[in-house]
Amino acid sequence: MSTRAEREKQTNQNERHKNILAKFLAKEENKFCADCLAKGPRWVSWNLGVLLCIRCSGIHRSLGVHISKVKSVNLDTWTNEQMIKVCSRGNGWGRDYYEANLPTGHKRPNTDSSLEYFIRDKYERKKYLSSSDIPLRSIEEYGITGESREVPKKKKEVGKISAPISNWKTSPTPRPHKPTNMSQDQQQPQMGIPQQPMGYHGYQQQATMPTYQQNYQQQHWQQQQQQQLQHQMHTLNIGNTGMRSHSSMPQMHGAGGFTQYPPNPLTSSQPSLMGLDPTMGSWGNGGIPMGQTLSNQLWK
Amino acid sequence: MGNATQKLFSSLLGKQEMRIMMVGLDAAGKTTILYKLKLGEIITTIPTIGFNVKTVEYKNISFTVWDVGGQDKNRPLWRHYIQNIQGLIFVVDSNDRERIAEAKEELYRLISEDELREASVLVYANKQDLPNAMTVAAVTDKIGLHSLRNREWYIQATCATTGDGLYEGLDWLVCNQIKKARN
Repeated sequence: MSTRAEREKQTNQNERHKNILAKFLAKEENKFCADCLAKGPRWVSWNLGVLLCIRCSGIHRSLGVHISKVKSVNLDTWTNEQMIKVCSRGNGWGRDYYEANLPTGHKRPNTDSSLEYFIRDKYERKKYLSSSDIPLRSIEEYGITGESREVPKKKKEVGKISAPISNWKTSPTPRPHKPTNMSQDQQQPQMGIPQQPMGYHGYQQQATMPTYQQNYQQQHWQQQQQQQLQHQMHTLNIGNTGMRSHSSMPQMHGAGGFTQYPPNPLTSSQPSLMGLDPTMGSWGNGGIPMGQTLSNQLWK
Repeated sequence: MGNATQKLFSSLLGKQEMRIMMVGLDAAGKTTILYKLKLGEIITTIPTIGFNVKTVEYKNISFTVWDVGGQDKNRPLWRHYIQNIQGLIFVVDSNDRERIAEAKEELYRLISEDELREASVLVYANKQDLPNAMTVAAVTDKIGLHSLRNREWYIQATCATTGDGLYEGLDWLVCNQIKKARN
């Protein structure tokens, strides 16, 4: 469901994020790639919070998303959560944190392979990591504090409106009710003293929620519930059978041991391993999915 | 003239051509796959701005593979590459559990295009070497391939850095194409 209002809201948000990122990139500490010191980084590892040149971003992508999640400053759209995560860090912070124990006189590598080695040392093996936490940078100047409803999600005490007020000061201030005020938020962050602190509600408020909330808030609220749910499902998934069945899968030595689905008659005569997966319901007929019978295949 | 000679030779040698488009979210491994197929080796890639196109010879078939950038703002451009393609390869990063739903959304958006109404879809469940990668079954489930109706599809576990699974996928595309030509 994508109404015109939603699309406009999205466009506004993208525009705002673009401006904020431009401001963030203009800072002196963010003018050089975090890894190779190339000028003018346009790529960001948003979970690590550092800015990169395109070459280093390629290496970061090859590490896998469990280590680094790369986004482009101008070719990707950003969420509030990502904006906050990045803007409260940056390359100055990254240097203090990821390179705290870098040997003095360390020379930045030049070649692709040595650069990859250095990047893996730095973020995967965490060789130079600071032993203590480095305080995050203030994000007040960007005016994105009112936007995040994802950050307070971490709080355990959901559903308690009586949460200490002091917490509200440290946590981002939610936006006022009307979406039309959005553009003014940046100039007037104080407006955002929460009347109805959206996203701080617990499940028990589910039933009453839609009766007094505006439509757009309701949608956001639902989104957030979904996110929480997804998060829970995600955590469940990790410890789930998916992992075990993966580890029992043959390792990648030649195509013969590779799991194919459905079995490819050209290359494999072995039965599909997928039939063993207990999580799938429709593998009963030897790994051939329902809805796609082999009768219309060439090798009938 | 040269072109005509080439065509003559092709017909004598029975060489066929196939146009393939390879899409997927950013950092799924499309460019790595393309160069692995073309050169047989792993190169250090950078994010694709625009597209790469390479011709790959395999089993006497000449595959013209278009590898299109997967960043958010490149995705609306995918539909401009779909004219006259005979196969669609959708690459999924099996390790990226957070964005699998996004991948599904993009796949469905693309195949709902009129020109891809009858296109077969080959899904590469890539990056199977990573420790937390989803199995092929899990990827199939998450991108809802079972619910595709009137569509030939095939999912192949791949690992672009070793090359595992890549040619098996192409084999399916070829078989499928020959079958279509016969009908």
